[in-house]
Amino acid sequence: MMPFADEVVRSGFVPIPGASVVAAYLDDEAVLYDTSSRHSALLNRTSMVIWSGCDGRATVSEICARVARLFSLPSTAVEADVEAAIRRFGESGFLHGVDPAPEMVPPDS
Amino acid sequence: MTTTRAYHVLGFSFSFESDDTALVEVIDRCYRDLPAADGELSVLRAMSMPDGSYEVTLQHPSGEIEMCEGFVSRFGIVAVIAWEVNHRAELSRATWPVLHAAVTAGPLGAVALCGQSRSGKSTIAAAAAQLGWRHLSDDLAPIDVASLMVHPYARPIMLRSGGRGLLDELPDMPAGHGDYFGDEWFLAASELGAVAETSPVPLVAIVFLEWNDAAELVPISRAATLHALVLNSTTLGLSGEPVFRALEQLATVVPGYRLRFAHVSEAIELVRPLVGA
Repeated sequence: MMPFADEVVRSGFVPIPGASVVAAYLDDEAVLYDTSSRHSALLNRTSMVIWSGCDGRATVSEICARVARLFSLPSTAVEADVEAAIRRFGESGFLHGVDPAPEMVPPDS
Repeated sequence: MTTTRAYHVLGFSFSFESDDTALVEVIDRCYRDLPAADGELSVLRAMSMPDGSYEVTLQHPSGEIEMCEGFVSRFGIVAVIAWEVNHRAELSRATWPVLHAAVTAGPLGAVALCGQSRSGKSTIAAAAAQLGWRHLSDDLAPIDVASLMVHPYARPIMLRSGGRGLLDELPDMPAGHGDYFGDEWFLAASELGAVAETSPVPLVAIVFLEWNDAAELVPISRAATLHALVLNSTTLGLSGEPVFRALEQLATVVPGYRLRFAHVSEAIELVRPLVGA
């Protein structure tokens, strides 16, 4: 049994994209698609930057620092938003080792 | 047993046969816009059962017979056959991006009108057919991304009572054919006045349909286009990443729009400049 996103997404957590998740970056937005669950998401610029920071090595706090630098903001100003976005990635089933939220699991799985 | 001519649809060639001669005539009329097939054929067969229902099977070119559906009522038989043909045609192009879309065309090229069931695809395709526009499909749009051409799939246009009520007068059905339709009627686009395309046509726009009180055609970003394509692709679930990358390529080069409309005539007027009709 894997943990849910709200149980693990903390500053020291390292988000790893799921093996079946593919991404396309177009202009200032991105699209994620999970070839296993067939879920998809349209990411705005901020979410795209956060997703591209999820490289399987950076911790949540390191991703916060990158996002803060990019938007010229203090890290504390983006922490809540970055954590929430990563939690949503997990809830949507896009992160390795994180259980998707129950409503994201197809009924026949 | 009576048999139709042989039809070719994408990578699927078939003829239809039945012990019900009138049903064979109905299918022949519905599929009259499909080009003729040559070579190996599958045979879709609907046999009458003692209780008045039909049993539908598919005989593959190898001779193997596959059971498709049993206990099909007379009112549902054309819909079941249409579903089977759709399914086989779609499987024959599983590695292509195939959109759940109606496709109509004019001098500038073809527009794919994407949407789920009851989004107005077939009704708009029928209205465009009544105006004499070129017809490619009311349901599936297989796209060759390398050439940016959309391939025709001129199956009969499926119209429910709600959609029929929004159109100009429809042609009369031959006597007895109405017995084979429930709420869903199937009409060949050429019966409505369209030129049914048999060759691929350049794709000039992808439009996503949305019922709305105010009519508008709004350009959307390339990522929003890709996301909407993902939601309207029938082969992405079968083929995964290769089709996703093909859709990405499509979204990169073909403009995407959101079309909001309350009346079919509004949709037609907004699509008209895209196809140059």
